[in-house]
Amino acid sequence: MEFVSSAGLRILLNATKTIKGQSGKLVVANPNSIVREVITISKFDLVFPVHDSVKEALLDVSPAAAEIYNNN
Amino acid sequence: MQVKFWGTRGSLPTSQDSMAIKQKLLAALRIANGRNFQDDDEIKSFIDQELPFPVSHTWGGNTPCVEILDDKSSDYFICDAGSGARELAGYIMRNHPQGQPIVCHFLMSHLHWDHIMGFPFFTPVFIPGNEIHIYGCHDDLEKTFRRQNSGPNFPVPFDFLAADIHFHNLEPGKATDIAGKKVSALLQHHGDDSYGYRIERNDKVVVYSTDSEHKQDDAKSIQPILDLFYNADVVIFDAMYSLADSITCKQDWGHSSNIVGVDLCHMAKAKRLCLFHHEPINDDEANFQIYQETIRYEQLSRQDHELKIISAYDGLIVDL
Repeated sequence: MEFVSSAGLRILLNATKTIKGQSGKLVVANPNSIVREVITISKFDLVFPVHDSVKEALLDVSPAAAEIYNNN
Repeated sequence: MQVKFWGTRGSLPTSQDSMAIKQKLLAALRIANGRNFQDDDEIKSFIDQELPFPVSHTWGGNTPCVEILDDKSSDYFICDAGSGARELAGYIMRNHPQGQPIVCHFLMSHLHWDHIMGFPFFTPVFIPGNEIHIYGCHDDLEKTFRRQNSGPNFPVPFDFLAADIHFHNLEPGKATDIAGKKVSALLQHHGDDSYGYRIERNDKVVVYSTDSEHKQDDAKSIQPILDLFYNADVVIFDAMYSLADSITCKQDWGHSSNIVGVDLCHMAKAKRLCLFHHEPINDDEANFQIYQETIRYEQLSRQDHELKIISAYDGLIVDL
């Protein structure tokens, strides 16, 4: 993803709600610097966690999945 | 045309306390670092050119009141009658040619308290011979103004006001001439409804779109807003909350955000986005940060045309 607009962030928010309704959690992994900046400006970093790497993101949502990711 | 901002704060008038002023003085003296100034001009130059904006200025705290001026009309054209209307009244009383009746046209976005509270303090309404025209799309326009000027809200009853006061109901989608300007209204999403206005004179366009929540559900729902904003010289836009707040904990509170303003203005090819209806809890530093972040988001999201970002503050004049 190279860029995210206000409309795109709304879609991510809706996904967050849907996933939360299924006892899940949406996290963002390794966004580029522009997407990260937009997330900060929009204060969406208070809505979902943003991680620097896929490994860190997986650790946040599922340590078991992070272990499988590490082993591959 | 010129746009002059008399009140830019949302919801509630907001004053600075002594501590905030002391912090500004402290910051200014720290930056001056013991420097000697030759005269007042050198001090003014230091203030204007070397101090950060939130140190040398304040956004002010009056609620919405925006004057639109053009050199062809001596009538006063005013969007909303928030507490900034009291400041405007003082300016008019000091500067209007003596002996000439004052003619004012108030264009009302809606009738919530913060947008009407300046009217009882608008001095020209007390003077016989003056003409006050109040325009809006709400059916209870006159009733609301009369109710505000009655007990226990205010001790001076409406019928005591000596100016000649007229109410005019506007119809969304139907352009109306007001003081030589073409005015079109659009229904907006806000509690008890609000209306955005496109105000055109010759080749200049001002859009006054405050107290409006943008759901961005689909392209069809956005199109009327894009038509309202299209190619405007300035869009005065409700940017009260962050996007995250406006669509989570403050969803359906009827307000919007800076980055939605940028996206809509880019799509509508507007020339300037003016952040407006500032959150009362924001101090000058917070408003400055939002302003800078909005400039940055505009740079990041820009495709084919540059959108100039302005953050309205009480006393700002924008030349179009």
